[in-house]
Amino acid sequence: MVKVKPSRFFGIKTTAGRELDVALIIENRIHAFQKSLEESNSGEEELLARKPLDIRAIIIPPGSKGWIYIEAANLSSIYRVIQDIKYIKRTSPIRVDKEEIMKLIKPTPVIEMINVGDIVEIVKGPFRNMKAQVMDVDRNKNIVTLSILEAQFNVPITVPADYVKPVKRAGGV
Amino acid sequence: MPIRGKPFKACRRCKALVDKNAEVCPYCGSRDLSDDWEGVVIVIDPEKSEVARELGITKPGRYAVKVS
Repeated sequence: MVKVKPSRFFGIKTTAGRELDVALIIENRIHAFQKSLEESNSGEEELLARKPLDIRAIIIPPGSKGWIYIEAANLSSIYRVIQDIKYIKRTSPIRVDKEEIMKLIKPTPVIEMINVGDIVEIVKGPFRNMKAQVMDVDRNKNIVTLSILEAQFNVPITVPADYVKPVKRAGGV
Repeated sequence: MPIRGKPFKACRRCKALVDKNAEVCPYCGSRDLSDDWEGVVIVIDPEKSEVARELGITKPGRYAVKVS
């Protein structure tokens, strides 16, 4: 049975706003390299010298500005694919923990962080940028009932939990 | 994310990123595509990738992290 080398994660600094461009260039290079290996008619010695790239995934977390992350078995594969990319600012990748990456790509759902009485900011929809107090939380339907603090009358509104961002806990934390 | 607008649409069902002009997701056949997505995971080797395993991705390709 072939033993699979464990994954390691590395962060690469890019020009802000060019994260996707860098990721697509790296993806193209990996595919081109794999294709050239398959089509190569060269001798066995040359094939051995051209070690296959062991890059497993390229990650751009939501809201990431100026950073992309690569999951690979070794650092040498990363150096081979990032060389001469115009939008890479720092050529030495930084080691990142797997847990940090998972936190970025699998964030805790907003509904799990909200309780009755909390103050939230509405980030989407017609009430955007307004602050409101949570009156009810329906975790099954993923909706919250809010009372807008700036409104003169207390009119409860119901919005999806993704539309709000927690600002202050009911206890004042 | 790119400044010049998003070059892909995301499938709401399988989260795959597809061409902006596509009407059907080539991975799952869904027509429910969205322009409102965030974050990208490009899976090269789904068998060895720990991120792919965590996200339940089994095919190589480009995927969005969050689709609304």
